[in-house]
Amino acid sequence: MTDFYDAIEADLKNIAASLHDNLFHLLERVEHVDRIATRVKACMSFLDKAGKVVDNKPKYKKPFQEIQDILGARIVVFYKGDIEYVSKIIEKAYNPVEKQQLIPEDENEFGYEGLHYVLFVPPHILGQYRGVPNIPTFFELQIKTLYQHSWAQGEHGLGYKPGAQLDRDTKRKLAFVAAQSWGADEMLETLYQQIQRGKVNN
Amino acid sequence: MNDSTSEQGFEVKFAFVAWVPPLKLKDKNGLQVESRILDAKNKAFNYFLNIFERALGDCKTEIQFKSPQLNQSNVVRSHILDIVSSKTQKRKEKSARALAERLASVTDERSGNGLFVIVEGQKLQTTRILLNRFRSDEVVFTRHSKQELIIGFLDEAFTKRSRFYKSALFEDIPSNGSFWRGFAIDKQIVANTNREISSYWITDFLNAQSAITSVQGTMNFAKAMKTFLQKADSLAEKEQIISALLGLKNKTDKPISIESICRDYLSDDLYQRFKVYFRDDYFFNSVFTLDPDTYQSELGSTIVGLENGLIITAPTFDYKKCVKEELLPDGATQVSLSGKLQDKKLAKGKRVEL
Repeated sequence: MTDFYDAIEADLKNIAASLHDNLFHLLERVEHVDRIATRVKACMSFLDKAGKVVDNKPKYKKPFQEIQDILGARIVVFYKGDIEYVSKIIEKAYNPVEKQQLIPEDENEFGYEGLHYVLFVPPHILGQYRGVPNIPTFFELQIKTLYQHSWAQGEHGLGYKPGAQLDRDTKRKLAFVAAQSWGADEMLETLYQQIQRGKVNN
Repeated sequence: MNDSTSEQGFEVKFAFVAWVPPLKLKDKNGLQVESRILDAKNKAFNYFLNIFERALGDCKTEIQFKSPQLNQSNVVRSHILDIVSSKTQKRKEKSARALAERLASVTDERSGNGLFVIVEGQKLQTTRILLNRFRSDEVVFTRHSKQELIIGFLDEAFTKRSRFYKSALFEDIPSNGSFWRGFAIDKQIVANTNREISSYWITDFLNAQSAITSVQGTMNFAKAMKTFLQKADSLAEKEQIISALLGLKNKTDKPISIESICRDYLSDDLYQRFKVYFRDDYFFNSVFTLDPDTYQSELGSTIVGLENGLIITAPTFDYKKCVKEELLPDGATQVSLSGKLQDKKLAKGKRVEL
């Protein structure tokens, strides 16, 4: 599996760079876009995911075809209201096969939030790599606010594996940071809307 | 069936034929889909095998399945996955029959009766599946027998040569994540004025879409046009390209391809150069619709440079209203502007000796 990954790693990096250029061109005149980033899933991370077992069976029979975040992109925007605006541009420019608004299941919980898409890699970007074995059909795109992004990055940096059993105190601390981030987003959005309305009324 | 191997090395695993009447919005009136598995011994088998062989060259429009609920589900793709993953002919036939019935349910009287054919082949790990629709037509045929010319008539015959012929090709290694992309041929899709008819194969039946979105297609098209304007050898060629842009202003709702634009608006020489520029033949032929907003933002201004150093920026789509061009006896073009003065600005210029 590592050999297969190594064989296409350079191609994947080129495709990720082209995706970045494409997203940048699309959004360069859009206000409140803090950053656009693309990445190729690291080999170890890919191998970890490819090796997952569910009910004593491999989760992925053909990992290169079935794992859809080998190529990833992220757009970070200033305010919550910007997410919808940017998502409309994305849905018009790319063909999506999946859209998920990720929020904690329980209304009393605070945790990871973000809008996730699975999108076809546009054919002109796939271009010369068309027909190369194991080149992904899709890429995953996340749209987040600055605070959603900072919470997710901070939490990821702590090194907990997804689904790990955390003690109550740790859970509460993580939820506290998530709640603070959620609150900051809400306040910024409210302030932005107020100022915009003020501009109109003045 | 297993001894039926194509010249390209695909072993045909399954061939299916269905007579498909138009059942959309219609009292079925006793009509129904008739279907059967096609045996390799049938004479028609080789005709379909030949089409299967050439399909990769014939189908040039790249398509992608839609997921209407944005949950990675598409009913046609699911049937295709069922066909390629089923071990028995009977199970394959069940899914093929479901596709034939779906085709009937989206076909109306204007498209008439059709022959729906599915051929599935396998070469090493790769599976190719080809879906075809032939529209019925009346034909006169002749046969020579014992120096006698026999003339016959068939009121329902099917041929690939018809401009109503449609095809879709999918080639992949079967898995839960495969068979999302394919290629299609729909001879009506670019030229036809009745979009409702021409879109029924790709949109209504396959529930698919052009792989190139309007926005991406328009962005790529604009990029190509700008590059070509820079590279054009003469003012005449630049005029030709600008004329093509203006000609497309009112075509934002029609499916087009770069190939069709070049064919319709450019000289043979420029057409050939565009073709070379688009070495990726898939994009050159791929169908998309122009997105008006992208078109405006990418190509909305035309910059004109005059020999006296004057540079003007004019709105592309109102160019003729505000810029008048007049051919002078010496072959040069005199340009005059018209419009109400609104503003003046100073900007940096080249350093000159005073």
